[in-house]
Amino acid sequence: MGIKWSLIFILFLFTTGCYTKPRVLEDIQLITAIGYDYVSKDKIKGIANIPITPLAEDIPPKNEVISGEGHTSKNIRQILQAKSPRPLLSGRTEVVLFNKKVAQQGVIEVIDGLERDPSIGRDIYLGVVNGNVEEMLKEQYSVSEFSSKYISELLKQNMDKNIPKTNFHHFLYYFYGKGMDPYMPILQKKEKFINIKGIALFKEDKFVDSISLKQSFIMKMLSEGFQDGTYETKLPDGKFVTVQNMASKVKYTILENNGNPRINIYIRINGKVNEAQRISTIEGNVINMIENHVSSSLTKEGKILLEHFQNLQIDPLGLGHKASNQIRHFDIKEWEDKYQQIPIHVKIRVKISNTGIID
Amino acid sequence: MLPLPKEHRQVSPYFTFYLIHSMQKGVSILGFERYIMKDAGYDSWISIIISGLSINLLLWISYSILNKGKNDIVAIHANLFGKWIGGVLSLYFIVYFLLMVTTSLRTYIEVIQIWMFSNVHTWYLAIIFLLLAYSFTVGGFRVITGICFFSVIIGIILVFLVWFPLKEAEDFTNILPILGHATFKDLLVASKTMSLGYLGFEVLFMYYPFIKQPERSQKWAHFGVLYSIFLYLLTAVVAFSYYSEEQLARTIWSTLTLWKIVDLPFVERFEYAGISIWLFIVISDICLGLWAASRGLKQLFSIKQKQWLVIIILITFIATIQFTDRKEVDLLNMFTNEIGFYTIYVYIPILYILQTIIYKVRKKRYGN
Repeated sequence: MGIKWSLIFILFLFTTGCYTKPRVLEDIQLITAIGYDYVSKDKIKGIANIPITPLAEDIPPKNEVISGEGHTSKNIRQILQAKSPRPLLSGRTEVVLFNKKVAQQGVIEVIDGLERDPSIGRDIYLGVVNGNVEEMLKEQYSVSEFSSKYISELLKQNMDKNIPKTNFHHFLYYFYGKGMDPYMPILQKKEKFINIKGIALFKEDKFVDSISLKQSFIMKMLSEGFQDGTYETKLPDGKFVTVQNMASKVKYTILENNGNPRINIYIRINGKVNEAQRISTIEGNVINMIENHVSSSLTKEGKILLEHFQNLQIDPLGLGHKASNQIRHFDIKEWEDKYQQIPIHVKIRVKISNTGIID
Repeated sequence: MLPLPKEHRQVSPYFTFYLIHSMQKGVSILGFERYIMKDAGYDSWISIIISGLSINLLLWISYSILNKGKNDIVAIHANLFGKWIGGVLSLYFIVYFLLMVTTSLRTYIEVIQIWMFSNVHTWYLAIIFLLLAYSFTVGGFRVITGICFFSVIIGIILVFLVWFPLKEAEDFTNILPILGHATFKDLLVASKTMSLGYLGFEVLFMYYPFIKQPERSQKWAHFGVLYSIFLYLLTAVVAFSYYSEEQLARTIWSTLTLWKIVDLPFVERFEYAGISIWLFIVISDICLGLWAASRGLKQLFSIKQKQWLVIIILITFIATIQFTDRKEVDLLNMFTNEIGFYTIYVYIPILYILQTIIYKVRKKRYGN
């Protein structure tokens, strides 16, 4: 009995070689960023960022890209493979970038391919590039060894402070969800650095408009509670003051009266004064004055942004979705018809709890 | 009357918790959300509770049958309906157990094929898993109980893993307004769909005599079902706040896809580790199912259980390799769900009523 079983066992050891191929790290080429550039109406250029880490210790790692033109993203993959000495694997992809023009034409085809692929993580970043994607990925930046790492770290830490959080999963959630539209950060290469320029707003899968970095901060404040970020404002007497957000909370109340919906947004910000030029913050009601001023100017900017969204008939804050969670017998069609006329009230309360280590 | 197993083959009553729970939580937890979502939208979490409570009721009925019959289902059938009709009914149960094993095995193999190794043949993985299952099952009921124990312990991972999707969750108010998405009828339909997640407790009909003082194990069995309800509810609520409705409808293995967001410092893509760990959970299902089927056949026909085991493993193997694509595997799951639903919700209550009547009639006739 024992011999028979051990023979069968050995037989199995032999057969394992026939199936799944082992993938040794030295024998494969990992893709860490994927980009798409515009070529013509039905042709796009795919770019893959492939970091080359030499086996010898004293040679610095190299930031390399390969690119190829094609009609579909999977076809491009094949063309890229034809240029690579080792098999390309996408399991470590951190960033996917779209040129502005590609994004304007729609990204669903690429998104669908990524969504279907089990090797693509859900926490990767998507972004729209103002300018040439290939140039951005090709550059050997001095602040980071690989451009993909630079971009993903740049986005990661800015999503804590300046721009609303988004990643691949978030994009899919907003894309497929009813009563909401997705968005991505906009990046631009400037000499030796990459800048975040703002937020690209999408309608379905097409890039329609963008907002600036300052407006992105307002959008972040409207869409989620967070703990960081600074806001600069001009006081009535012409002096500038900078307030740092320590904790903000946002609450949506959506009411419906005889089929007329109304949105109330209430935001509470707990902050501290970061910088106040030639203002003595100890004087009686100076703090109060700053609080009032910051809250009114934030409210104003919030309203402008919301009106902008309404005019474009897009909903990157997911108001329609929030309404469906608060209103019984919610009809999304009706909501979308009315969306542009829905009154939105924004109320922001700023509380400044300290002024740093000096008065 | 068929003989009862000896004491050194029995297990303590509290092991029923592990046996019941591990058989319920199989591959279905990897993707049940989207099916109940189809039926009742974001309200379908209510169906998980409805379905789970009804299973508790059925479990109570099952214990009433078994406590009266004081043996396994084969003996009870033979006692109530005689050798032939009882035998046919027992054979139905055995085929049903094998169907469950095949469904678990084939679905798990499919997950491996789609997520990890797309060019591995079904037969290849089936042979490996069935050989593994054979080596456990041949050790007898106590070994299988051990496997089930481990499967439950390993399954606790699931509870901790929800932390990551919760961190990224989009909207916790998605399930609101409660009962704003579905009618009562939708909820019942979703409850029926959900019953697939709770199938497996009926293997109790085979291992009941293997529990020491089986009457005392009932509370543990109920705890097992309650724990299943808790796990399903937790996963579903997390998935509902993590996915938007259409996104979830597109995602075949929603729980597995949830793991894509898991971000641990030592493993980049947790879902691959998760799929591999899941083998422990699936293998316990397969072992218990195979054991129950072979035990039933041993009681019915006078051939040794070990020989039956080899035969049914061959049958399972042949059945498993018949299903070649996603559509067919989906169909197999639907079919098992349907059969299982009628077995537990229709047959078990009928058996209970018939048993009560027959016992009363006999009591009158023979005066006891």
